[in-house]
Amino acid sequence: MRLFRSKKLLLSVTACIISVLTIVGFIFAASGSDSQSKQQSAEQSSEPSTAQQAKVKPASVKVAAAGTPVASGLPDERTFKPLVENQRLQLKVDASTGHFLVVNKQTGDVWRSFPNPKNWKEKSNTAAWKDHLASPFMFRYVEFNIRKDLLKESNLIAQKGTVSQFEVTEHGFKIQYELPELGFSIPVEVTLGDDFVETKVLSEGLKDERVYTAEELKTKKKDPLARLVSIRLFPFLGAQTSDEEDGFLLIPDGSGALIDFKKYRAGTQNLYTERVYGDDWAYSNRNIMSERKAIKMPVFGIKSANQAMVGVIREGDDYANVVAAPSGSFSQYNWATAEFEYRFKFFQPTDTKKKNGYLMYSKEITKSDRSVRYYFIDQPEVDYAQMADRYRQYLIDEQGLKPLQGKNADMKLQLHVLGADTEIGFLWDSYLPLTTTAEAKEIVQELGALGVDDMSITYLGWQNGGFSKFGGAFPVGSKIGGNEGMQQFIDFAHTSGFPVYLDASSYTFNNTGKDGFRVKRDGLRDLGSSVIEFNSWDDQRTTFVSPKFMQKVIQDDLQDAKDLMVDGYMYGQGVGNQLNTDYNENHKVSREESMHIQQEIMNQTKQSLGNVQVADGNLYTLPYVNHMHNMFASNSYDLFVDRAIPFAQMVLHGLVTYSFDYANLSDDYEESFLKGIEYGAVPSYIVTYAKPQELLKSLHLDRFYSTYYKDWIQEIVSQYQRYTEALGDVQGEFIVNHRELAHGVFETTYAHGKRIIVNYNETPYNLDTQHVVKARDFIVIKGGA
Amino acid sequence: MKNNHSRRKFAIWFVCLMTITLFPTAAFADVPYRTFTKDSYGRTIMTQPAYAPKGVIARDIPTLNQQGEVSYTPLQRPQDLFIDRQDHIYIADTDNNRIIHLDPSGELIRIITLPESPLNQPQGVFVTENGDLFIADTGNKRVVHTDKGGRLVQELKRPKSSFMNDQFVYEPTNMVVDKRGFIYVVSKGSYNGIIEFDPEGNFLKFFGTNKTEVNLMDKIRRQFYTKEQLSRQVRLLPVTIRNIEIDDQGFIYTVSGSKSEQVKKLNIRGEDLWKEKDIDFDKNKAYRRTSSEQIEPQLTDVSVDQNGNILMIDKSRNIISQYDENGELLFYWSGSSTTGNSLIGLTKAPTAVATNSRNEVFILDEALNLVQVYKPTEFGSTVQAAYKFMQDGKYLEGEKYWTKVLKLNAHFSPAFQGIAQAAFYREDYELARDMFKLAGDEGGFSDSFWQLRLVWFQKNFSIFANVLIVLAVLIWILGLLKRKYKFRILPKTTLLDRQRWYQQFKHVFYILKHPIDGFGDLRYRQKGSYISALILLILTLVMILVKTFYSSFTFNPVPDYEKGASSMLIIFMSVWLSWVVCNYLIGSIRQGEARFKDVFMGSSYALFPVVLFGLPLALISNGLTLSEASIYHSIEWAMLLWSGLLFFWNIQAMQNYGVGETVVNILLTGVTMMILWIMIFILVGLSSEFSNFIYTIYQEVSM
Repeated sequence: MRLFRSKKLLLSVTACIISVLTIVGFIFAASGSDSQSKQQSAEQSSEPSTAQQAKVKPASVKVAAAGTPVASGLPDERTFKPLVENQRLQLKVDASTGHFLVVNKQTGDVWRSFPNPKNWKEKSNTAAWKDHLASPFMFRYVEFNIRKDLLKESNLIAQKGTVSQFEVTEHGFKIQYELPELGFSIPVEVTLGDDFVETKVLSEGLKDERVYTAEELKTKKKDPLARLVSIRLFPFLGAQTSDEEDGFLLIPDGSGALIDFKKYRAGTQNLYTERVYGDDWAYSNRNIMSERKAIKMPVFGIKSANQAMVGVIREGDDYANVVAAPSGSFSQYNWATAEFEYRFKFFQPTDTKKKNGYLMYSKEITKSDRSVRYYFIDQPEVDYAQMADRYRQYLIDEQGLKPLQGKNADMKLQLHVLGADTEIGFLWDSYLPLTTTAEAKEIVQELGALGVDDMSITYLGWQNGGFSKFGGAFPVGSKIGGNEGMQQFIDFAHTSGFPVYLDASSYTFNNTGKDGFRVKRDGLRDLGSSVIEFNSWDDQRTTFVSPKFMQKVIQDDLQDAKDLMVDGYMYGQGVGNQLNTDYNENHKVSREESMHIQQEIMNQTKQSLGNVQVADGNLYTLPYVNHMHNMFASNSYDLFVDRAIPFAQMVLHGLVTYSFDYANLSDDYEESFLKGIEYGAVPSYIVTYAKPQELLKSLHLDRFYSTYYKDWIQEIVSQYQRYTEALGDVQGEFIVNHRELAHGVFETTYAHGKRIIVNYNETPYNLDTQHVVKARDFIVIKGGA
Repeated sequence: MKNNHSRRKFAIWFVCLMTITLFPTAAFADVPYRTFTKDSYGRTIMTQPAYAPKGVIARDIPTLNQQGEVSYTPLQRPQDLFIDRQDHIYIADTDNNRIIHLDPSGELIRIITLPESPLNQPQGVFVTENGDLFIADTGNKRVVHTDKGGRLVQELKRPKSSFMNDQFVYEPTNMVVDKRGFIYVVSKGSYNGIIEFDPEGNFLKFFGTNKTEVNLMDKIRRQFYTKEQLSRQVRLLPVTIRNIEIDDQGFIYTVSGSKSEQVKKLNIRGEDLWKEKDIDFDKNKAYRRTSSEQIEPQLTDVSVDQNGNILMIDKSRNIISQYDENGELLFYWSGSSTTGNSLIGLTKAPTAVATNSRNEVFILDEALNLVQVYKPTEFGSTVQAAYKFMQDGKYLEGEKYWTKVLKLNAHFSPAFQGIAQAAFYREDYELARDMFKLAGDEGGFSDSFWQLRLVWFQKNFSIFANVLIVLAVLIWILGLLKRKYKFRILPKTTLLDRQRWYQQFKHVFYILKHPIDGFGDLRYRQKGSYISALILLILTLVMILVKTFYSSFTFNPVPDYEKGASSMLIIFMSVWLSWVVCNYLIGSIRQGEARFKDVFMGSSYALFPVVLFGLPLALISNGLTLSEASIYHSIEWAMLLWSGLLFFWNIQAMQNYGVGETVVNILLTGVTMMILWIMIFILVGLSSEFSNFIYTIYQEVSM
């Protein structure tokens, strides 16, 4: 009733009239020929500008070709009609398929939502892949009534899909795809931004159930229960062939990796597909976890000739995979894309030992908006440095990351101290002190006396039962000094200006039953509703803690930590590193909620203690942390990867400081050091006061094969000094370039012109007449002068 | 039982692998696999990688086709890899009927197809020092000998010899040539062993034949079957040899699919140098697998590197392991590549392994059709150098390397052995003793202790002798005085004496002197009670703990972390309790007179010798070395024997049996105990199976 009284009436009536008119117009056009429909889209493209001026919401329209399947073959670019534009870019669209072009208005460069037709060869692609390549999206589905674990891969064209609705929006368009046979309808939105285009699969209106009528069921035996598993939207956006060999695919594998465009490449099944933020334990109780390093940043890219594209998964990154394949595998195109997952494979055990069972997909659909932003860069000599630069800018603008300033940009030695563990005793387990707080003080003093003037100390194994006891963290183990000892140590460190962090990744697990933890009630459960447990060497049962329960425990403990004057927590594992869904009815959370819980934990910790650090953290932790430990420094060694690059480091340098694996435990001490210099890291060590043989008494410390501080103190000091000399003044600066000068020789350039050249070879490298880089060494060339 | 145990262990390793992916706070190491070793006590421990992946070669072989265009052909099911003195690489590209010759960096030099007499499925290749090529041309059933330029020199066809019966199959799969030019050929499926040819190509003899593996059933059959029945049986044949390798010193290594002689190190006379050691090359190794089923190991090739260390590959489990020349495990790693992904450094079906002069490892993979290359890391090469010195007996030179190894990985226990040997060599026995203990070498520990004791005796002999004399005199005087004045040395403890349980406890000393009467008194004169029996039981338990904990390392070589007492106590108590129950049950049906209480008391009183001797035994073990082990062991045996006799007399007296009846009673008790335990195991097993069954039904109904 209120509607009539308000002025909205007038508005809605006009909106109705406009929409009816346009619908009538379209219906009229539908009876016309092809050329008419082209005219139609021309008319329609002029519409948004007028709509924009009138500030009236654009009307929804029925598409001319509704009902007829999308034609196969790549779309004809000449028929694309301009839709919207801004100062730099123009978006042209083909309303019958939803394919679009983005044109740079200054240079005329074009990005396509489909493969570049230039070097298309009929012979090089199989019939199935021709349809894949031409379709606006690929998808996978499962037929529950046929096989619960078998995926079928298809696309719009192969399924004789149609476009049922096309609607022009303020900055782009909305389109609704229908797959009549399966009964799926997929709504997609495309928006043009300043230097990007954003594509989105909307959750509203997404349907993947076909309701069979009684008649249909009579003729057809049964409903196959086809359900959507994943979608790749515009998978070949920016895809190129390798005929020119002038580009590469960028994948977020490890620190970053490039797959070069190569005419000839061994193997025809080269495919990179990894889940963003790693596997989910709730679906992975059978050993089906990936061998590759987990993706920490949901980003990928394609560079060819003078143009580059950086794809950023914005919404639904927690349910996305990054997929990339070089030419010669599957098709003649190099492509990289995001795959949005809606259902997940898991192992349903049918016996208590969890040995037998079957694989199936989850029944419930996980719905949310899924979007990818494609940033376009075109400039001569574009390389991954510019791509890193754009992604960094995105993080600053959209994710709230800030460049390092002041003391945060200082080079701090990352000193990790391993406090204690539990050893298997003669009659009962006993506490095994490895570094008491007093001893830690001694180590810090000794390092200070030898010339380490800035460091950040992280205490591991401080919790009540030591390193391998999870749950009941406070009070600090009395044999390493208890709360008082820790407080004294922190006071001492603060007088020298060194911050002290406590390792809080242990909150992820529980094996003591402390903190009120009950395995059945508070343990993380997988989709089959069984608690996820691990047996360690000594048959000790360790359980994942439900994220919600963990959050409560951490909140309760924060005051204790605050009383100790701790500078912050170092998270890792289940806070910031792993992302798990929890099917525990008491604390049920989705993967997305789990991510928010982790962020909340970090935020609360930051509010309460001041700082947060993370070990090997995912992208969503970055706004909260001031340092990242144990960052990946290499890729996963895929055979088809041609170059490993420090992409993640180039993005993060100047936003947070980072360190790699503990230098004293690294696979190759010298090489790790050189890599640290090349990648702009901060040195990191882990030490104990106890002799290494003591560590063997525990069955959980065998990864710490060399931690005796006296063995390493000289190296720590000299490495710290060399790091400071090379990187001390550029921790707050961005890396603007990185390249390989010769085989095994790399150059990293910082914002103010400082260059660092690292030579991994066994022979010296002559940079120019003045500079020689010694074998397995590096030089620093000061810039700006 | 044993099988069961090892399966359990496997399960643990498997779970461990899973936990490794999860637990360490730190990120993955940079290489895509984990490297393990065993410490001196056989415990699997992690190390940093000894070899790091360097890259991949021979992924595609460029060939010119008729039109003069370069086309690429990948290897197809290649079977062998050989690296010559100049580090040139030869690959037997079996299904492409060719031999690929690559330069040290992996660039193609030539393709050998032998056009005048084409190769057919060549499975093996060998290059002599002067560059002559030997090819096992399996499909043509011959070995081909060509000169440097690839011209045919000689063909070794099926030898005509009276040693060969008609069933003998001659299909050469690989061969080696020693420095004298003698050729050793492995033939597919030949159980006769290696065929040895002289340089002219005349058949000499069969070499290095494996033993026939005979199991218990076979032995029983042989006893009872008639000749006719036996002839109808499948003939027992020795296991066939799969692969062969020769090192610089002329030792020949053979790889077989058997359980006991997997890898043999043969000298020129065909004697296995590792025979005595009986090394199990695939014992309890951790590996990654996708299902819970165990995978049978399948060793396919060995290679000896410049330092004399031996690399072995296991095709089915993708384990690459390295042993020193004495067959001691150095490291192993397992990197299997899952379907779809091929990562540098991970293998799928490794068939051949070779090393070059820089000790880089090349592994040929028949499923991936390429060669994976690994280079030794700083840690790996240091360990190898250290081993080299140790094997050459240069302990002092090696010490520097061992120290470095320890710095890189303080848990790598062979390093303790190396340092201990060096310390022993320079007569630093104290360090040697401690290091030998860490290395788990009780022999070395005992030797160092012997030296230390000698030094101590030499230094303190005078004081020692004096003290001894003074003591003797004192005791003598005390004896004199006691006889004269008749005083008690120990005051009479009236307070304790009034306690009834104390009196009952003291009865044990009477039993020691008069066992049969003593046990009789327990039964009929109420000289004992549950309380006194419990006291004795607890004392025994304490003594067992004391003995394990305080015994010298020489006699109890168990690492600290394994000295857990609870399992030992549980085992002892369950055996003892089941003995008491079963003995009582048997006694009561066999006209015994003992009540349950009596059996309980008797069985704990009979344990008294353990209490009596446990502490002294533990104490003297700290002063003895292995050369005086017989003293220690005879005391230990005496203790057990005495206790055993007490049990015997206990039954005899309590149940009022004769000797014969007692023996029968003990035997029956033993049988009953066995039945009891079997029943318990069956019950536990059945109930867990039952609950599993219910769960399965529930799962299937609810799904």
